[in-house]
Amino acid sequence: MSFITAVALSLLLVLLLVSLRIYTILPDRSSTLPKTSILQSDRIVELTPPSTSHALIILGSGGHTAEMFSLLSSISPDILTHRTYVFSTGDIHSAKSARAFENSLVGRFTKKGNERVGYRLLEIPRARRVRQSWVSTPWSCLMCLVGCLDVLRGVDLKGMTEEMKGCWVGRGVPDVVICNGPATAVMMVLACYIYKFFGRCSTRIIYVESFARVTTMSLSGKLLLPFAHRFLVQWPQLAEKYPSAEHLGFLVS
Amino acid sequence: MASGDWGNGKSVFVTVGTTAFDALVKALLVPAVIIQLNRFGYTEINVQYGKGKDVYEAAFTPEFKKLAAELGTIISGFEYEESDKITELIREADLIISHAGSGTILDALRYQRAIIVVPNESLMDNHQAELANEMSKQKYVIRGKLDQFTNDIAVAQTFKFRHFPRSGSKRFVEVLEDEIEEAEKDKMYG
Repeated sequence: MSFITAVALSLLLVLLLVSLRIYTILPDRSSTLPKTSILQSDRIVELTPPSTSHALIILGSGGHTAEMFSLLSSISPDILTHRTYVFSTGDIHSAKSARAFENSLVGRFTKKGNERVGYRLLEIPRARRVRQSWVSTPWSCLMCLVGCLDVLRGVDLKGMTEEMKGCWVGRGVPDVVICNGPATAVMMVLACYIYKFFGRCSTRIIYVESFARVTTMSLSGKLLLPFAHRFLVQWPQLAEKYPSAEHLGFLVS
Repeated sequence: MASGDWGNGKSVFVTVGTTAFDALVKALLVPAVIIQLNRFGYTEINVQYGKGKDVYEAAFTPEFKKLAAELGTIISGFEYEESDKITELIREADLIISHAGSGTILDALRYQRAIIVVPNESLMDNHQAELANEMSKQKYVIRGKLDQFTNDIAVAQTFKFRHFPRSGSKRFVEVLEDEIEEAEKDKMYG
């Protein structure tokens, strides 16, 4: 009897090993798909991530700023080596939050050189105050746009310490702009597109609609929908309404 | 019924955001609600009343003060604090009763606190009500009603609050890193 059991068990074991082997040699479809598409493309694509990158982060008022730092909470400062924060005149809260966030990154550097890069924290004129009259809005928006263009030009670089300047010169234009709603974001994206028009930048724009927006899009969102390279919404209801928006689930945590 | 034990009772944090939400403060600081809170062991109530100081102070009639003293309930209030201080108060409280601000809701979910959310209907932009409704539909929060606080508080005692996913930022960072690579490609090949 024990002999039969032993035979049955060993047969079972063989069967298990055979199926395991078959399972491992089966092609993984999810990973082969993008691979073949790269091979088929006419360019050879460099897949190693760049060693430095520059993100421009636009801070709005209270809720927007809090959400932004929630989105960014797990970035690696070794991948996102250059960080520029832009806040509106008088928004001390956002400036403080940016400093607090940068302090929280201090322990996360693995390359000492990246710590020396530091970060830029820049103030630009407000695009539109809450309840500002629509008559004076064009003027304040223009002033804001000029401020945004100054950021891209790197006007502030002159005031940097020599050490920091060495890391930042020639890096005024960001690789990515990250924004989530304030009117300032619209102006900054416009400034980027002015640069793009003259072939001066290849900046990619990531827009994240606020977690508070379940079924209705914010005005900034509606305006930026055609301009963002990635347009992320956090509720499926919004993605259904705007098919060009991407829904990957909640991005805040 | 009154526990009377200083520091042993549970605490409630009420927050209305940067504007005023007088209807919420008014509906909360009434005998029926503090008796109900006391029944479930809440003996500390901290109210962030925003621009509604008058309404907050008007709630303290002699009878109301007497009742609070009998119950051993300590009620305190303040106008506004820095957001990290508010976050700290949310973390320390056992129950949050809040307007539908996304910041407060996310803070409460992060620290897995019981939260009753009441949208401020007087605000023009009413997407906050949508958020409160959707979050309660998905069992992350309790959608409170101004005239049913005693009931909402009872519900909060046994409600199974769903945990909010923690993976949000990681997902965002993946998108960000993909885009950094794309930008690099664009730079190299124009």
